[in-house]
Amino acid sequence: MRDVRLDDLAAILTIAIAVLTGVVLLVFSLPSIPYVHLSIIWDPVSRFFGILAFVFGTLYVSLLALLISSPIGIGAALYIVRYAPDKVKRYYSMIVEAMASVPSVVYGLRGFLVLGSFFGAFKANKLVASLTLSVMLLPTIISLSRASLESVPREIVEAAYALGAMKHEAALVALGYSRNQILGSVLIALMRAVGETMAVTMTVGNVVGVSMNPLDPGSTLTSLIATEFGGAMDPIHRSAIIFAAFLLFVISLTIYSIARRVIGRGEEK
Amino acid sequence: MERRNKERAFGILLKLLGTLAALPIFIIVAFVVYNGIRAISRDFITKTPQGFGENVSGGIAHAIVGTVFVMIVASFIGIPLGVLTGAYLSERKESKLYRFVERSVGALMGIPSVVVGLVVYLLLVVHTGPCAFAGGVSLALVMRPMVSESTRVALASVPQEIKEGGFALGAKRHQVLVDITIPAARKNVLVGIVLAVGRAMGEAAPILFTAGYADAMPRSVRDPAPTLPYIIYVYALYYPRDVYRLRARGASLILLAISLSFVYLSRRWRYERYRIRKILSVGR
Amino acid sequence: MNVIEFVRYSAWVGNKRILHEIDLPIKKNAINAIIGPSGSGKTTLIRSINRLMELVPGYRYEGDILLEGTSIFELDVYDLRRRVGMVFQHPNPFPHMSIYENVAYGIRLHRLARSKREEFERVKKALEMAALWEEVKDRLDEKPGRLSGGQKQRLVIARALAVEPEVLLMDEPTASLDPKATTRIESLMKELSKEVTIVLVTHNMAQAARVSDYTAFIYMGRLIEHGPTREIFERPKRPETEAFLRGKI
Repeated sequence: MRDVRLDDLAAILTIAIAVLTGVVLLVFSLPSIPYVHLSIIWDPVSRFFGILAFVFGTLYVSLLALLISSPIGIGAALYIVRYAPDKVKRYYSMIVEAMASVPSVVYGLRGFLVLGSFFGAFKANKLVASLTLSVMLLPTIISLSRASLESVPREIVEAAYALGAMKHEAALVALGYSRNQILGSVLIALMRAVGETMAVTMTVGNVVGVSMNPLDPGSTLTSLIATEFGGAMDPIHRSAIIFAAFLLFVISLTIYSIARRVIGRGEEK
Repeated sequence: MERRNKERAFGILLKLLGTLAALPIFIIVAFVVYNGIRAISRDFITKTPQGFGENVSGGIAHAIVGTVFVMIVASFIGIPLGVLTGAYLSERKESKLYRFVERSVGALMGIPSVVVGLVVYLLLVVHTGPCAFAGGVSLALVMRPMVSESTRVALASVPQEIKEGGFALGAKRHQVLVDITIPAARKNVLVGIVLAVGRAMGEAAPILFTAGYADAMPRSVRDPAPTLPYIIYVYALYYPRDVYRLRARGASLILLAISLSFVYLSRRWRYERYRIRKILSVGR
Repeated sequence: MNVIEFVRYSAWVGNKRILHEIDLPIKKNAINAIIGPSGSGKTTLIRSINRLMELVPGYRYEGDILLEGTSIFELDVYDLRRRVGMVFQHPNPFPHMSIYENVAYGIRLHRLARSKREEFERVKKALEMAALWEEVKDRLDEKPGRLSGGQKQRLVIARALAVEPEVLLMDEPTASLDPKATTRIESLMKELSKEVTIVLVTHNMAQAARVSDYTAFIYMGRLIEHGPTREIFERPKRPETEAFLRGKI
């Protein structure tokens, strides 16, 4: 027994939990499979569960949020690494850490009460959710991009300068050098966005639909789980929501493994 | 000369983006403080809610205590598991399982926290009912991969020579880990734990279905335990009355203050370490 | 004739004085070796010529460095760096750009080509000068990652040559290469020195003796002596030089 150590047990438990999560979600969503459809209609009363509207909402809100926060976050990281004086650098990492630690309900409340008030009657809509989410993704994008920009070897930047590159041209070389890692950090942010629950639920409006208009309310996989699971009495209805969770699990893992592959490709050189 | 203009424009653009990215936190803090301060009173912090609807009075003490209950359970489960897994990840690279463990930690970090809550509901809450214990288990699961990742980084940064010093004296692997590596990195391990506990505390998604809600003070971990993030969500979204909005804002202020003080705490420690290192390097 | 001339040039980083009042001519179309033990200031000296030292926080200087009679500190730094190319100790091609893009990078920075055709011709010429064209002409679009160390170093030389510099600074260019690759680079340097002035920093005395026309010996931030390579190696005037050549420093 001396050979079995606590850290081994913890490691095995880790694997077990990861596998168990997937298995539990799958098993509990099985009963609903005959009632789940590739449709945009979600009707618990007649047990017709189309999940497309939620997948659409999740992707719409997440991608719009990324579209807003990626350029800002990557630009900010480039500014910190290649332009900012040391003092700004120090304060900036504190700011990013603080941003990351603001609870998602606080972001949600702000989005719900402040951003939403600009839009009159439809206080909660996909745009408000995306804007709220984009702020929440910034710390992830900034800190991961910053780390990869900082790991660009000095010789690479010096080589650019030695060829007569100006500051911005050298910065662009650094950006090009770490482009795989930066793409990876955007993907990690996408994973966060897809799984974010509270802030999105509080701001997206929770109306099932597939409108392309960002000012229309929508619904996401996470907001479906948050708003309907507690009140779902019909076992098939519950199971269908668990199916949505399973879908979310699969989407997250897929994004995660793509991100790993992209980052790994960057590290090979 | 067009090139010079580009250079200047690029610098200005980046500075602008850097400023734009830093702005929201100040706006949020200002917003939360400005709106929340009106709700804060002695009763708000020390009393449980009294009455219903427009006539609600009293405070949110039950949620503060509930948060503490849930976090105690979460810490007891999440911290040891996280630290041990982190130690494994840092020190057992040669193990056959290593790749799987690493993947699993990554995957667990990526699982949306609402899904974690759902799984805990399916496996635990259906037997126990919503309670502080089940909520704590959910948050432990959310916290654990963060703790193991930061522990891994902290332990990996302990210089190999220091560990070898232990092996050279004939210490076994776990003795080196417990006696040398973890103590050598304890400040950084602690920083990671503090940040992870702070993050977990702000999570509402994993406890939506697990911790439960009651207007009363929880007395044991078997009682339903409302937490601060949970009541902010519920008050804001499901009680469309201004009194509840105000209570949500007050709770936000308290929650944000606690979250930020966790960051401040971890920062201070890092600052100390930085200072110690500076003293050492100047002395040399 | 002197392309570059150091005039009572001193350099500091923070409070530390790295170079003391250097007076040194760099001869045109020749290989000028700078030798000395590590930490003697060779790298600071060579990096001063293209003002790369200005990236080091706390750097300041006194005296002057002249390029064709004009102070380099009065020149536009970006133009200076076009006229003075540099090759580093470790081969550092940009890994995210193709072989072609690596060589074309400087041409594009300084807008030296008016058409795609002209750009291609310049890239080809630079690769030919670096004796790499035959080896890479069929895989110009590949990333440089799979090239050998010696090929990477020649690629970097081609990248520097593509903007047609007057001077090529080489900071220990063979330090990370095997003997065979080193021989190739050395014969390439000889060939190139007919058209380009080369400043070569090396701690490898044998290399300086093999390839260079002129040698300067730097020790503890001071120029001890300089002159034609043969003279320095066969009849050193100063005891420090002799000690270094015998491996006693």
